[in-house]
Amino acid sequence: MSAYANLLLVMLMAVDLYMVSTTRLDACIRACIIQAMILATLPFVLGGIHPDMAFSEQMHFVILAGATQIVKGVVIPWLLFRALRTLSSNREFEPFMSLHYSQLINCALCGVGFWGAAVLPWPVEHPHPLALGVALSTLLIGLYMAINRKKAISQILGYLVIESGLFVAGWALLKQPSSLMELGVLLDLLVAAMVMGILATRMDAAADDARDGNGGGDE
Amino acid sequence: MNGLGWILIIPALFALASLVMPRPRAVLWLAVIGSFISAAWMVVVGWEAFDHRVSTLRQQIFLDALSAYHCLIVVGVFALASVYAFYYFTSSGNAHPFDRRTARRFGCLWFLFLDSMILTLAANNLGLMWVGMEATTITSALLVCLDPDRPAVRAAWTYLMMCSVAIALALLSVIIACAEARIVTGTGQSVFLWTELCELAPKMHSAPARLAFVFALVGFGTKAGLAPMHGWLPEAHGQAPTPVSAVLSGVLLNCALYCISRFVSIVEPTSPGWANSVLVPFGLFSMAVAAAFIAHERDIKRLLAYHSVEHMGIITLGLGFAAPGAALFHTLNHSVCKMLTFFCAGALVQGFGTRDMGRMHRTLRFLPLAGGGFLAGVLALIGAPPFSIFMSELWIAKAGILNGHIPAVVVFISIAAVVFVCAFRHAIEMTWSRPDLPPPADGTRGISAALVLLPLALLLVIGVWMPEPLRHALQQAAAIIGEP
Repeated sequence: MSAYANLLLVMLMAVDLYMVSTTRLDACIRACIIQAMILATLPFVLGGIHPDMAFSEQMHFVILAGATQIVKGVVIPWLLFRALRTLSSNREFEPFMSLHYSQLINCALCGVGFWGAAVLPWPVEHPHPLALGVALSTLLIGLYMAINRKKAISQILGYLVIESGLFVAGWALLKQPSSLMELGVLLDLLVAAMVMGILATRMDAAADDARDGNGGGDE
Repeated sequence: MNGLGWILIIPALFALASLVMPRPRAVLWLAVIGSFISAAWMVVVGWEAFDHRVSTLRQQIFLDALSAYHCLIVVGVFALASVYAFYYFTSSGNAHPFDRRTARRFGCLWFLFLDSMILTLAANNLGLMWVGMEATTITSALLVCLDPDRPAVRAAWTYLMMCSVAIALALLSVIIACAEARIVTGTGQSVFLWTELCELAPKMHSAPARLAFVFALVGFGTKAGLAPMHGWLPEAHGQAPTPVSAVLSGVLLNCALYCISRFVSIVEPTSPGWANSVLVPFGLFSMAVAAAFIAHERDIKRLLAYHSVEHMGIITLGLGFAAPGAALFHTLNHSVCKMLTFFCAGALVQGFGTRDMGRMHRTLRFLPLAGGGFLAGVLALIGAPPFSIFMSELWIAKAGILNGHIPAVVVFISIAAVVFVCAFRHAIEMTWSRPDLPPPADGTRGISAALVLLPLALLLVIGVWMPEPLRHALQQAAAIIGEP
């Protein structure tokens, strides 16, 4: 089980780094779908599931994984793609910091994440060697993504990456989250993404109009 | 399910009903009726909670003295703000038309906002509390941009993004606290309830509890508008329709501080006095930052927003001085007073057609009710006796001296004096100066006498005399945070 968990966590980090190093929004949203698939599988290898568990408890894992997959892997990407279509054809986004510097900063953030996982007093009995480090690095990279992008719609992706980091942290620390909490958090995430999508579309549309009105001189 | 569940169901039903109302006025009437019914039901249920804890839905929802105290403030402020919303939206001084679609959206979001705040306060499950807190952000961000002009959307976006990210960090604190409690039980049993967490708190290790508290302070502190995480607050309060500003400032910030005070009661048994030493600098810094902006602010609603930052700092300071009773009393006073000042400010903005205080003049003559109410409200807000904010600030300062935080008390009083002078200058200029400018064009009254006099009378009465039920409620609620 541990080998699978390591593989999934390393894949998660790779997706994070891919999202930072691309400027195409649709590629970023596709990366989000892959991330959601990894997250939905993670509870089985990271959580406290084992064969001699009661059937109802095993079902609990299956339901949570399914809900995660549907919300994070299907509905939210669909909403984002739809928002992207209503905007102008400009699918690239401009980061404040160039991609090269972003890569360097992200390496540093990963270092900080793993360092934080090692030194801070986390309440965990048998720590998984990678899980907390990956969780904190993902959280920090998500924060960086939310700050470093001009377009509002690409800031939403940063927020989603932050939530992914928290999801990993939750499973690493709690082993068996209450389904009420987990489903509530997913529902909130869904509504938040929806509202953010609406506001971002309005803001980016206004920004595009302003730029077109100026003759697009800065393009 | 007993009567407690209905405190969540009633607002939800009214939110649905708002969507099918035929006319804008009907929605506003529904808002008034619905929030008064919610308030009445909350009084019935909450009264019991001051003597013993009530819970429902397998203990997931509960009311103890602390949450009941905050809930009663929330429903009280909502009830009066709904009445004010009636005056605000039917007045002719609005930039945007209040058509049927806007009205329905307002009514639905208004009740959902109320519901999410009650869920935050009445959730025993930490996860549910977090869900409620995030829901308050989403619903209120949509209320902030009810008028879809560009600055409002931008303000709502900043608010939604900053608070969502911060509340995500707060989720980490919830996870850490629950994980530590799970280890402490020794049986691998998951723990998600406040009531269980408080029982387990003395057995927890101090380091993870502190880690949870730090994340909670940063996460919920952003939502409470504590400096330096207050960036979203002035914009959102300034751009929101005034009834929404009143509720944001009057009760939403309290809900975030409520969550922090719950975490105080968990970290306090493991490391006595540590949480206080973190809260005091945060409180003083918030006050100082707010004072600097209050001195130069020209926008009347942003001025009140910075006052919120200041008062959240004072409440945090009260918690840091280990005087939760004083902090809770100040919470009530601030909510009532901020509601009053926002009502009057809203009427002044509609009357003069501007938010710039430099262009409001002789308010007492042109708009006597709103102008007089604003002057009295600002006097109460900056801590002039005999209003109750003076009493609660005195109580906090006294607790600080008794607990040995003398340098902090000196800084506290100095900043309060600076705020007093600066805010009073703004109020005097608006009330009496500039006789050469033309009078406001529109003669709308924009507010009723009851909305001004009722809060003002309350501030006066509890400033000079504390009724026995209030004293009892404060004692019971403070005992939960940990009054020594």
